[in-house]
Order: sequence, then C-alpha cells, then structure tokens
Amino acid sequence: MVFSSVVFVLYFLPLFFTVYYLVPGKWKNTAILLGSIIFYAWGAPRFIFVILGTTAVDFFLVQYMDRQQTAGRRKLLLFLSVCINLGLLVYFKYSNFFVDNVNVALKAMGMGTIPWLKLVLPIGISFYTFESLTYVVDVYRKVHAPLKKFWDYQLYILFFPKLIAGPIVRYHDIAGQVYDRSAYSGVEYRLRGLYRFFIGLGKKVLIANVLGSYADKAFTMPVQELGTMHAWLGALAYTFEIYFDFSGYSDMAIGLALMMGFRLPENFNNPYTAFSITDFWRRWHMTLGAWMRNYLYIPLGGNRTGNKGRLYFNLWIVFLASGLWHGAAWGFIIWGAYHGLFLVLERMFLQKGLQRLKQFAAVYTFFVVLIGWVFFRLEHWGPSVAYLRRMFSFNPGLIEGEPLFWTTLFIAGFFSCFTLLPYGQSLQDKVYNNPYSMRRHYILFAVTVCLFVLSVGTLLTSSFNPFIYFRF
Amino acid sequence: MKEKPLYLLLGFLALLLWLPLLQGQLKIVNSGTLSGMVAADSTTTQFTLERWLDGSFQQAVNEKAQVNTGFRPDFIRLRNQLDYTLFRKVNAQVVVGRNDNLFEQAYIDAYFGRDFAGSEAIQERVRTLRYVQDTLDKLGKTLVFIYAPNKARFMPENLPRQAYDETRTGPTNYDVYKKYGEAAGLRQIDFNAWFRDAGRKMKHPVYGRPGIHWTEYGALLAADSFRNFMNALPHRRFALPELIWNDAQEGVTSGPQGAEDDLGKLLNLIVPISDNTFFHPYLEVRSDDKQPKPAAIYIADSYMWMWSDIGIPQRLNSRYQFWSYFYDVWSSEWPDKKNIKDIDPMAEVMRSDWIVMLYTECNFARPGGDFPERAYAYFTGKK
Repeated sequence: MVFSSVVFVLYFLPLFFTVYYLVPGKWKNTAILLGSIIFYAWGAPRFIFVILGTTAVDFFLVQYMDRQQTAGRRKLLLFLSVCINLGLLVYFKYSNFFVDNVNVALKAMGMGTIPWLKLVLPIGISFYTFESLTYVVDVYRKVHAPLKKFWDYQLYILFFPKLIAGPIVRYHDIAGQVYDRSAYSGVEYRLRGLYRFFIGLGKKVLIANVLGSYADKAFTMPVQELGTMHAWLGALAYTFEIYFDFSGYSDMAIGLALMMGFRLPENFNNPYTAFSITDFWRRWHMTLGAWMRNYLYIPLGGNRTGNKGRLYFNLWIVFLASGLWHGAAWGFIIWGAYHGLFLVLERMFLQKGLQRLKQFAAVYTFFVVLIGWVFFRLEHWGPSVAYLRRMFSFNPGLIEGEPLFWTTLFIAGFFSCFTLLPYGQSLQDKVYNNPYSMRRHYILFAVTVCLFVLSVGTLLTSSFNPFIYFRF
Repeated sequence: MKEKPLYLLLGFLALLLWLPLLQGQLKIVNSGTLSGMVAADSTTTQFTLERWLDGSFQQAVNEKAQVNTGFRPDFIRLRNQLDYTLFRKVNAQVVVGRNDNLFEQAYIDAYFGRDFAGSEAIQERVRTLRYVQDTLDKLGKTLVFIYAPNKARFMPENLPRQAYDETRTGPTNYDVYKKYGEAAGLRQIDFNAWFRDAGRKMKHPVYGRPGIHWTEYGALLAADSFRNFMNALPHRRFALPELIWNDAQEGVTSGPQGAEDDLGKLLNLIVPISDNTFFHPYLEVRSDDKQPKPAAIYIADSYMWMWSDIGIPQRLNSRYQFWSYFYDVWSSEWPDKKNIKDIDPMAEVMRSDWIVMLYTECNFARPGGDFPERAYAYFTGKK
C-alpha cells in the first residue's frame, strides 16, 4: 500500500486512526503493529513472512549477543547478524545485477551465460535492512539496551509510516518512544501530524506526479528526437520530481508518526539551496547520510585517519555504497561516485572558491546535482551520456509543455528555493518547527482542507479518463 | 493554548476523512453520475489465499475502492473544473481547440491524413461499391454514399495550435474516396464540402463548440439537401415530402440538447462550456406525408443518431433500419437493438428501396464494415 492512494487515504487512514485512538493505552502498540502488518501485507503479501522471519532471528540473536560477556563472542554474533541482514539485501536486490555483469564477462570470453534468478524485490528491504543493522550495532556498541519484548522489536521494524521509504530511523532514536510517547501525544501534535501528512500528499500528488509525467516523456523518447531545451526541461522536471516525491513521502511519514506521538527525524532541509555538494548531503536524505556516517564512514576511520588520501578514499567508498544502496545498476554507482568526486574536490580545494561565491554557490550545487540526476534516472552509462550530449548539443528544438506543467514547475522551483529569500526560512520554521498560535492553526487547517480536496480529486481523476461512446 | 478549538479542528478533519467512506456505503447525498464511458471493471473482489498472495485481490479491491468512493463525482468535477479553468486541461479523451471548441483526436487525424488507408484499398472498395450500386439500380433500389462532415475540416482554424500549425502532407481518405468515387460514378453526396462552403453562412451554427457531431440545425440542413438529392434522381419512384421547420421560432436560440454537447459532457465540469447559440428546429408534419415513401437501410456511423433523434428517417421513410457500423441494428419494426448477426442483411436489403451509407472521414478505414463485400458476394454468387 502506498500513502498516495485512495485506499490508503480514504479507507486505511480513517479506519486505522479511529481504532488507534479508541483502544486503551496498553493496546496502542498492538494496534500499530497490526496496522503495519496489514499495510505491508497489502502491497507485498509474500514478503511479510520474510520480514517477520528475519526480524525474529535478529531479535533473538541480538538478545543472545547482549548476554555475552566476551568481546570475541559478541563480535562473532554481530558479524553473523550483519551477514544475515546484508545477505538478504544482496540476495534480493543485487543477485541479478551480479549475474548480469558476470554474464557480460563470460560472453566476452566466449563462454555460456548464467540464467537470471526469478526474484521480486521486497518493498522497503533497503530501509528495513539498514534499520535492523542500527539495532544490532547500537546494542553491540551498548548505545542502548535491546528491546525486552519481541513484538516491540517488530513494531520498531514494521512501523508503517517509515517502513517502505524511510526516514531511516536509528534504533536508539526511537527506542524510548516505543514505550513512552507522552511528549508528543496531545491534540496539538495530532493536528500538526495531519497537516504535515497532507502537505506531503500535496507535494507528491500535485507537484511530483505532474513533473514526473513530463520527465518520463523526456527520458523515454528517442534521444535523437530530443532538443536541447526539451532535454534540460526533462532533467529539471526530474530534479524537482524526485525532491517533491521523496520529501513529500517523508513529510507523510513524519506526519503519520506524529499523529501517533512518534517523533521521526527530519529527512530533508531545502537541499536545492545548498552552497556545496558537502552541504547538499547534509540536507538531502539526511537519515541515510547519518546512517552512512555512523555505521560506515566512522568505522572506516572517518576524519581521524591522519592521511588525506585515506580520508578521500573513505569518502568515496561511502558515496559508492550510497549509490549502490539506491539501486542495482551502474547508473546508481556512477551517481554515487560522481557525488563522491565532488565531495573530495570540495575538500581538496573547491570549498574555498565556493565560499567566495556566497549565495551564488547554490547555482553550482544545483547544476552539479541536476547533471547527477541524469545518471540516476537513466540507470545506465550509455543512455545517460547520450542524454547529456543532447543537453549540451545547443540544438534548441521545440519547447513542449502544457500550462499545468509550467505552473507546477514554477511552484516547485519557488518552494525549493524560497528559504533563500528574505523571511523564507522563518516562514518555513513557522510551519514545521515553531509552536503554533491559534491563528496559525486556522491557516494550516484551511490549507489542509484544500490539499485534501485537491489531492483526493487528483487521485480519483487519474483513474477516470472517459471516452465518447456514442451509442455504439 | 485552549484545547477545545483544537479538538474541534481535529474533529472536523476526522469527519472530512470519514465522509467519503460513509457516503460510499450509505449514499447520504446524491452526487449524480459522471458522463462518458470507461473500460468495464470485470475483476472480482472475492478473497482467496492465492489471489491475496499474487496481489490480484488487492488490485481488485483498490479498483473497487476508487469507483465506490463517496463523493467521487464531486471530487472529479471539482478537479476537472480547476484543470479546465486554470490550464485548459481536460481529463477525458477530448482535444481542446481554440475558442473552447472540442474535438476528438480521430477527427483531427483523419483531417491530416494520419489514418490513410492507402489508394489501392480505397480504389478496390469504390469498385465494389460501384458494382453493388449498379446491381441495386437494376433491382430498382438506390444506393447512395454520403460524406458526413468533419468538424476538424469544417473549422481547422479552431484546432489546437500545435495541430493547426502542422503542414498537411499526403492524401486523406476523404480526398481519395471522393476522387475515385467521382471517377467511378458512385452516387455520392459530399456534406464535407457543402458544410465548408455554405455551412458558415447559415443563420445558426451547424457545429457547436462542445460537440463533435453536427447540431440539430446542421443535421436538418443536411437532411434537406439529402431529400432534394434523392428527389432529383432520374427514374425516382418516390416523391419525398418537404422538410418544413418552424421558421417562426428562428432567432430563438438556447443551449445544447442531446448529442450537441457530446464532448462537453465528457469533461464532467461543474460549469459546462457555455454555448447558447444552438437553434432547435421543430419539424412540421405536412399532409403530403401520406404519399408512399421508400423503405430504407442506413448503414452509418454516429452521425446518423442526430438524424434519427430529430426524426429524419421517420419523416422520409415508410420503415427504416439503422445498421450502426454494420454491427448493431435498430429498426422502426422492432423495439430493441439487435446485432447484425441476428438478421439476414441481404434479405433486408432485398425488401428495401434505399441503401444509404452515411460516414464521416474518421471512419473511412472501412466505411460500411463488411457490407460492400457481403453485398458483392451475394450478387456475384462468390464467397
């Protein structure tokens, strides 16, 4: 089930929250767990058993690890748990990528090929694998004690707002809230959660989908038919689509969790206003960045290597891994390497120049990021290079686009960068962070009603595209 | 901060979330229905473990949930209205031209020749029709081929800019049918040309902005010309009654009726496209209606419906059948629709006086369906 669907917004949401608010306090976690199982099983019925099974193994393994006194045994059990989790991820997500590349090599040597595996990727496996790893590692590092009850661990992993697309919640960030959510449980937070959910839904349905439709056409049409302007517009549309899609989803997740009293970490902070690629990665998919820093970059030695070459290598490895995490294709790895390269260059010398540019450095960042999205969107080297050639072919061609697209592109551009404007940041803080006055509640309430009507109308309209049927 | 107003806001939003579900189940308010056809949903929501595991159960429930959502027509109309008012965007298989003129893509494609069937195929079909026409003539029956007009050809200046700017290249089905039809001596009436030349000079619109078919007025003018054509044929057997409509009401115009806004209805807007220039004539019954009239078969596309709705075949013919695309059959002799397979088409031809083929160019891939071949085979004895 996805959040931006009629069945979620108009059926699951009212039914689940009515049950959740009506059951006594001690049953609320059970209600969330059951709701989460239904939510996941609706979209990925076969994999609910995989996820329940692996979390069961993880839970008992980690409890056993925590009881061990010797460092060696603890390390061994940690290794075992990491292997199980990453093994599943590698099996489901990367097996065929591996087979594909081996086959290329075998073909080059004139040998027979290995058949592909018949696999379907379990929804959200990248997210819940990383969350499972934080649990194992946090307990190993004694950052937090393991959960006492098996079902509480299931709740942490299966918690439906963040289950299939994040934010990636580290275990120690949420462990306390599994038992005590009094800090964010008042009517104020329920309302703010609902506002946030519909802001996210609007970002996804009213902006990302419109731009996505344009980007899809540009990226799927024969590249030789693509004019320069069209290619740029396609890349621009995708740049905003992926931001509004992903950040919209994160908003919905954060809002839904807040309605239950959970405070999930923020995932985006105006990434397209970043003054460098280093800054961009502090603002884009922040929970993945934090995960990579804490569970990969620091264990590799982090900033304390004392050797600049090693430091740059570590940075690059982290970004290669980040690219690979996004998908099993060379385009994602190239995208990760590309970002890693700019990060290293900024560390080496570029950062000083960017500081002199001040706010104009955002243009550099936006340009670098936009080019990177071409590799991300097309997933392969050849088509990406062909597309980029069209972008720089200086053959204007026709500029295509309907009024709805242009308006949406303008709105997306404005809301992506408005914090650079005077009062932009304070306006954002008023909506997302600061305490609400009654007047602000009324404004956000009105906005929510409008977004609800428009988003639901759009979801319903997308399934109703009638044609004339003249009594034929 | 006082919590009571916050609870009220939360309660209102909760109600807002619940209302579509409640309306879907209890039908508290009548939201009406949406116009237009969508692909029929034949999936069942019956639960089985196998269907749940392969996802077909969930997909069926998702689709049903969409259709059964309360206030769905209202949500869709509101969204459509905003799209149309702000962006001239429609969520239907309709093309919006200039000045709010609506088109179907097939009509535009036909005008630009994008659906060209090929000269040889058209020539072969014309030859077949000519043979059928000659044979029917010998039997004292009349075959006539009518080119119904095409709105895209009638008002190309109102096509969407992108379509209008396109340079027309290559032949169209209409041009080639007309050329070969004339050369072969096929009995034909070209309303495409007549509408283009004379239609704009008429007192009232022959096409409305929200429709793809001719208006009642346009259909009546065409019917009058058709009657004159049939009356002027050599060796005519029938003196057809005059079609007289109420001139007294000329100048009285109103909004569209029936199929005059067939595309406008599809847009499912709250405020329909405004066009109050339609003239709805009332056909008078004259005493000479008592004269013998021909029995007719109209093999036609959707343009026939307007003739039928305003009573043209009822006035001109003693009895008639309408073979829609040589597929569905309506008749003045039986109440319900039949399929062409349920009747003996050639037996019906043999007991009729007129065979009228009425087609607009977007259906020129095979006008008349299988009729020309069936008739040819019947008359030549070849299968």
